[in-house]
Amino acid sequence: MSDREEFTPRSKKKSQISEILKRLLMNHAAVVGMLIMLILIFAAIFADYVAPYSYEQQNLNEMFARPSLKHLFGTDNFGRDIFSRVIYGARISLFIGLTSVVLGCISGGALGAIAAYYGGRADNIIMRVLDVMNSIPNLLLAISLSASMGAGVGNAMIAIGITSIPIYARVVRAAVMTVKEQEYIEAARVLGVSNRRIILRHILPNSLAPIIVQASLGIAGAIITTASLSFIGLGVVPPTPEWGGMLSAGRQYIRNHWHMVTFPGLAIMITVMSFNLFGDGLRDALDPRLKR
Amino acid sequence: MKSMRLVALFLALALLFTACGEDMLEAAADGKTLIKVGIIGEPATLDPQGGTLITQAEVAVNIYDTLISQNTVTGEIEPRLATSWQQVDDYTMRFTLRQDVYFHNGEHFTAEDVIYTLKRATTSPASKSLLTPFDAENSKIIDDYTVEIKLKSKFAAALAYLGNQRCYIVNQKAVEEYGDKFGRNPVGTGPYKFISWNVGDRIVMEANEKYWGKQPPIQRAEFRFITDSGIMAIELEAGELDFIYVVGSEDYERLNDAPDINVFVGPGFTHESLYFNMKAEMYADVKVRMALTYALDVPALVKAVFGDLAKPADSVFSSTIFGHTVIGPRKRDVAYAKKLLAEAGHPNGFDCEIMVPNNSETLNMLEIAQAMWKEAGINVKISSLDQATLKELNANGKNPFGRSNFTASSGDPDHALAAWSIGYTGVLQPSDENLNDMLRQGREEYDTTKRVQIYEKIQSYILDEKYYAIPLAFPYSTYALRSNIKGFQFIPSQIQRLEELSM
Amino acid sequence: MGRYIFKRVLYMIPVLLGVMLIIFTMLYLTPGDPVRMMLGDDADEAAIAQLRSELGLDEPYLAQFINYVKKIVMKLDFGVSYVTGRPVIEEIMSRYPTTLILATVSTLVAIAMAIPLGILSAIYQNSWIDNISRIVALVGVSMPNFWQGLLMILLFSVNLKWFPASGFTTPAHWILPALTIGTSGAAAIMRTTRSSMLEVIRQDYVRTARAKGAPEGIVIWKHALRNALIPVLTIVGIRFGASLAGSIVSEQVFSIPGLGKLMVDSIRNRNYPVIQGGVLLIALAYSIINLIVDILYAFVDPRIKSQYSAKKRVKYAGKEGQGSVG
Repeated sequence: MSDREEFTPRSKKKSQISEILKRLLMNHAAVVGMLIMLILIFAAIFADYVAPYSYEQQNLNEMFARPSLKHLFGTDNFGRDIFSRVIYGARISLFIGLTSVVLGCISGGALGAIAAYYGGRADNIIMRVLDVMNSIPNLLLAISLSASMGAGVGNAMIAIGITSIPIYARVVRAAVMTVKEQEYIEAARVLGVSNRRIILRHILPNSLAPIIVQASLGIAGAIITTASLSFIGLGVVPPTPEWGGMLSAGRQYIRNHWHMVTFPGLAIMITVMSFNLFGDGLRDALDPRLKR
Repeated sequence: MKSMRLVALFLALALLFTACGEDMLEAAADGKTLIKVGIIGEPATLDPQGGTLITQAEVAVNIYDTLISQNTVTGEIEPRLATSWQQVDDYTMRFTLRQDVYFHNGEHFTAEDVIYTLKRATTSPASKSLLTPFDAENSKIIDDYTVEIKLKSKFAAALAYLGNQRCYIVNQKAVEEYGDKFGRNPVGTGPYKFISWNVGDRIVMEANEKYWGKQPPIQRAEFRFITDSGIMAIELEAGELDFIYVVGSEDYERLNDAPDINVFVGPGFTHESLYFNMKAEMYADVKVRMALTYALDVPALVKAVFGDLAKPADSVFSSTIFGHTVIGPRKRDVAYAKKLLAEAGHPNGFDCEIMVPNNSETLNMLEIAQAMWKEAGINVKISSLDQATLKELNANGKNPFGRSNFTASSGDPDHALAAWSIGYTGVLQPSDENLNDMLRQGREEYDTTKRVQIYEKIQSYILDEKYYAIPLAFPYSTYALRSNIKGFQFIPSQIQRLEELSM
Repeated sequence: MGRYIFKRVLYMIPVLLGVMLIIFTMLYLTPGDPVRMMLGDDADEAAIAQLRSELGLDEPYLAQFINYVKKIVMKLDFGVSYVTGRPVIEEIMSRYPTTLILATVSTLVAIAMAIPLGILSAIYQNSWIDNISRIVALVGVSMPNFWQGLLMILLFSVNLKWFPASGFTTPAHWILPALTIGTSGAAAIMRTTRSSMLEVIRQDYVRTARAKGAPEGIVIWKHALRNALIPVLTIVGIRFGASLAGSIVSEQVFSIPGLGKLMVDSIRNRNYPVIQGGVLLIALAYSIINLIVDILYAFVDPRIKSQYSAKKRVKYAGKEGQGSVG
């Protein structure tokens, strides 16, 4: 099986990857971003062990405690430990961010690939549909979608995933367009390899770079959109510790209890920042011409 | 530099808008005294027969008048557009009207307007439900200034309801002239006349120089819509507002300590309760309802959420309402709750769902309640839905366990118990004939002492016998105003007449 | 060129029809009953059924949709708001000045912050000024708008008492929301300015100008900037277009009666006509702005002008960062 697919020698591919990695690791900002990302992912996965308290454990005798050694980020209006909630919140935010991007990536990517590969009528129809979606502002579309599906983690994820379809479709389409013209695709076609196989085995892997970049930036955007939805009251509902929801709940206490909005806000900012740094670094590493 | 031109274009646009902005400011600069009032949301309409929101009444009370009004502190009925009234028989009331009253459109107020309003109020879908005992068809004009209002059945709350916002007197000519837009161009006989409505932002009104009563000392009033009580408090402190209707518990202490701000709080007409759907199979066993009740420590959760700005609920309606009697709040008893559950066939507890609107106080109380229920083995999932979805679910009987927050602005128990009558499409899905009969008796009993007894029986039936509801809180009515405003007296109804204030 | 514009305008029609279909279908599938919202809890079933049929809500899906489109196409009638009883057009137009001011002012704020910083950090690449402005831009994109808005209220309204915290009547009211929306826009614009400036500086003609001994200031202003601003123009235009939809989150935070708040309120109330009309007009405005940007673009850059015959559109920025426009 495998020998038939190797139009580009494996060793060359390998060295390419290590070259990219090397460039990425040279970029300090990207490394910082990556480290923060890894810490966040670790915290999200092992929240049960990392968080000192449960995210829903209330203590009505200890409401609005200031940050201290006992409660690093203080407690909220139910006496819950904000530090623990922020950590569990990473789980929710990263989950929604990742899954919605995967959803958008797969469906958008498939549409873009089909459009670009087959061209003509398919391209026309798909792109027109995407134009329609594109002319409705993202957040408005996400809000309408989650209003029609109802609040909740799963629905927020789907709503945000759907709104990101056009971006991925465009990115993939552009990438596939350039790859399509390459000689080895022509060669595969001449050899009689099926369309599906060409798309999946050759075109997609070779147009992965811009998709990965867009995805890592997309996760950042998705996390902000999730938080915005919850802030308006259409996203994730309490007591799920979603950062935007925590901010929204803390909003009314902002004057007297600054810590209730400060830490969830910082968490969003740092997470988004780390994905942005990583995404930018990745883009530079994948395409040295763009190195700025 | 093409892009510089673009920038120049932006600048020009911005200047243009600056001009617009100043235009808006100008209105306030003509030397009239102005009070800036903050209300917690935008009313959909100022048509008194078109909606029943509390924010609507807060604005409309200044534009319209009623025949009589009930003093919400003393309970006395006081004259307004009617100078005197008498009960002719059990089904007839006769009102003598003021002769010196003019609508804001110049029309003279007569008996005709009263009949027109009554007909409109008893047929308009938004206002008619409470007013069914009124017989508008047979009510009649005796002369220009005398009118007889008929009842279909005996109705103890008749006068209280005539003082309610649903019965604000409107003028036929004005209603017909504006048609669908009457709600946005209100015409009444009140101390202030409507000037403008800046959608999403504010309503402006000005003193009515032809007002039949004493000229209001404050000549102009602005009602700004601010949906966040925290922001409202900030604006009051900054002097951007003079009077706010809602004080959040988190702002209460600070506003109270501020030297130039006075805060008034006290029991109001609002109750917040959890209701069980009477037709829901899951809660058919009274023991299940009891278990959910006894698992809660209501005073603790009310204290945690409202601070000093609500009373733990001790009945189905607020203590300021006529006929209130104290039942509870129950002492928390988790062991008893578990025992009840076991008897009801749930030895290991059970899972259920409560569907409520997205209101922060409700959700906060429920989040605490959720933890308390859990200790008794009951896993309650809280679903917060938007009003539109919830109303549909409630109406179709698809919400087995929900919440109600209701303000009976008339102060009458019949009003406060409106949701319990058969036919009302709320969470309760009322189907208890026995209760329905008692409610009817209460409505028809003219003897005050007997009426109180009936309502005591009803409250005890609902809470002690049937456990249909878990009363949570009686949120206080709250007002905060800058100290240069004089003449304010606390009233429970949360509907303040600005004509009584001066600066 | 004229033909191209005509084609683009014509092309808007199917797009807008598509927008109508999407939003109509979405609302049709949304649970919640506008009639019950209008009539309140204690309305009886007969009244509800009557109003529902008056509004045409009891008809089948397709009939409702065709009716809706027909009314718009034939009479430019977008219906009447369920909440206020006013025509949808009136309702939207009463909010539009506010949204337009906010969009304009915040775009100006963004430009004023971003372009100088972008140019400076390109000229002094890798210097401290470059690093600082890059960090500022990064923080700008990463901060959720509503959080930034809250912090601004806390600092400037509550503590310093410089600006009001809510409303949108006087220019003083514009400042905080414009800064909030402006900074997230500024981040994207700054990045584009910087990278395109860097690209241009390395071009031959700039090098030639330098070699000829032209003063550095003139090189930057006359030769580099002019060409570098082309992609910046695109992203500014797209940002402006997007903010014409109203800034949903910021309007919520600052209680601004703009289009964004109208849309959110209408979605909550199931005010179908306003949501449909609003989304349609937003899509229209967005398409028009896009077209204008593309045309302007062609004027600024002759290379692109010549490409139009080949029907190619070059987009540098796409919808980048729109999620955070809020």
